[in-house]
Amino acid sequence: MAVSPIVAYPSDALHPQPTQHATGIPSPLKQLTSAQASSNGTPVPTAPVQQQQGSAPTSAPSLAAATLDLSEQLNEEEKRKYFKGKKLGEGTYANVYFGYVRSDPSQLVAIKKIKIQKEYTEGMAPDAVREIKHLQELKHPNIISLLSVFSSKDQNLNLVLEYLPLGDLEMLIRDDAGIRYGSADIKAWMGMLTRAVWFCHDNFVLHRDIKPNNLLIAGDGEVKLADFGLARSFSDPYIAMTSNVITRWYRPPELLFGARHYSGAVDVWSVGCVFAELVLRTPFLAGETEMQQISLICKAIGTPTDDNWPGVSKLPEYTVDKEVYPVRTRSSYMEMFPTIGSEGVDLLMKTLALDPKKRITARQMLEHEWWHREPRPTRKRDLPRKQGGEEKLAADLKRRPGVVDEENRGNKVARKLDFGGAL
Amino acid sequence: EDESKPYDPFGGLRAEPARYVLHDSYEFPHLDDARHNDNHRVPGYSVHEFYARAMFEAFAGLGVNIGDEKANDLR
Repeated sequence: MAVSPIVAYPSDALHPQPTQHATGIPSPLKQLTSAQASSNGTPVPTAPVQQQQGSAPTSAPSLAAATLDLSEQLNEEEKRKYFKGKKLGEGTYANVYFGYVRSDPSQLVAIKKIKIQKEYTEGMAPDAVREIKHLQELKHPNIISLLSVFSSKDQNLNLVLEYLPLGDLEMLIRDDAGIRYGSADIKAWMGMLTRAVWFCHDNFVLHRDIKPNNLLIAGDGEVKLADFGLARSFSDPYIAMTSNVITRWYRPPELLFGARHYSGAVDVWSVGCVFAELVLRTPFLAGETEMQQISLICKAIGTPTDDNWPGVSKLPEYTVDKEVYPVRTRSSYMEMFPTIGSEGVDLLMKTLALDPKKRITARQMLEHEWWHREPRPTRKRDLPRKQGGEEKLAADLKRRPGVVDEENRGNKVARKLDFGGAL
Repeated sequence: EDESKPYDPFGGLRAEPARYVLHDSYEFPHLDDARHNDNHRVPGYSVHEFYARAMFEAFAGLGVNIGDEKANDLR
């Protein structure tokens, strides 16, 4: 590194400058409003954007090394390892830039710069804290890698993440004109998603925002779980958690009923919803409000009652429609999801069990018979991938990261899925 | 991805604890309420997940001697 070996003693050490950053971190929960999705953006690749970021590191190592303390020098060193290029995406909470490792420009990275948020001027944004805390612990082929963290001027946090160029699973599901896929492909993608969730749970981490647009696709076709902005460690008994997590369409009934003490089963429900969505190519339960979400679950899966879920009516926010729908039978699932076979339907039904105690765990999912039945899961390099999806990407980037584009999709979907009649 | 081998849903990463066996249940009065009270039981709080974490953390790194390993690194 080009830093001068002579390090002058910081002359102002005894008179620290007042800085903007304070140590107090506000409660991560106090700002959560209804239907909160993780508020930080996942890195989404795109076609080059014209605008070149002005603050690109113009390698200025001479930057008064004399005034930097040891930790600031280490930070400068870390920052200089990466070249930060074009902006790939802009969100309310983070901007994502393209970048690469200076010593090996073939190693591409995505640099996620967390913006200073109005609500959290007192300290770091809670989603950034969650993302760093959990991603630095989780190293797995199906979980996005956090390569480095540094702060830039203005005390902005930068997360250096693995570059995943092939978009996300939502883009593949939605592109029903351009992308064709079959049950072997669904099995391969589900395998990768289930391994990611199993690994999180095996390391005592709840993701709490699993949905197709948080499943990014690497250059070799590997699916990677990203966006840990709502993740948390498994809670100890008697310590309450918030029920206001997971994007509504993927939120399990216990959270809709206001549960404060829950388990890995909440993520498994989301995995079941993604499974159903992969088969149907439209969101399975796309409620526009929490009440509608509950009523969709009642119609599509069955009304939660004290018979099928002992004690459920005592949950803090338990409300269901007057009309009680019986839990759907295997044969009605077979009619709706014929392509995955009876083993696939068995697995799907177990992920969508109303009572979380009876829901299958991620580990049990991987032990299920379905993986060993025909067809064998597609090899990742043979999986369908998007072609010419650039316009779609540009559209994706306009929306607030971490939130589904419900204005455009919800209505359409609600019309498409009518559980009342056909089933 | 070797097509000649059967598909492994765990991706070859399944690790079982070597120094302890995780039981289904443990006698620990502090957890009785979490096991039986409706506010934990009904929404699916998993006492078993808590056992798994407590046991893992009790045994994790027992064979790790940081002083020796750091000394080896420096050599």
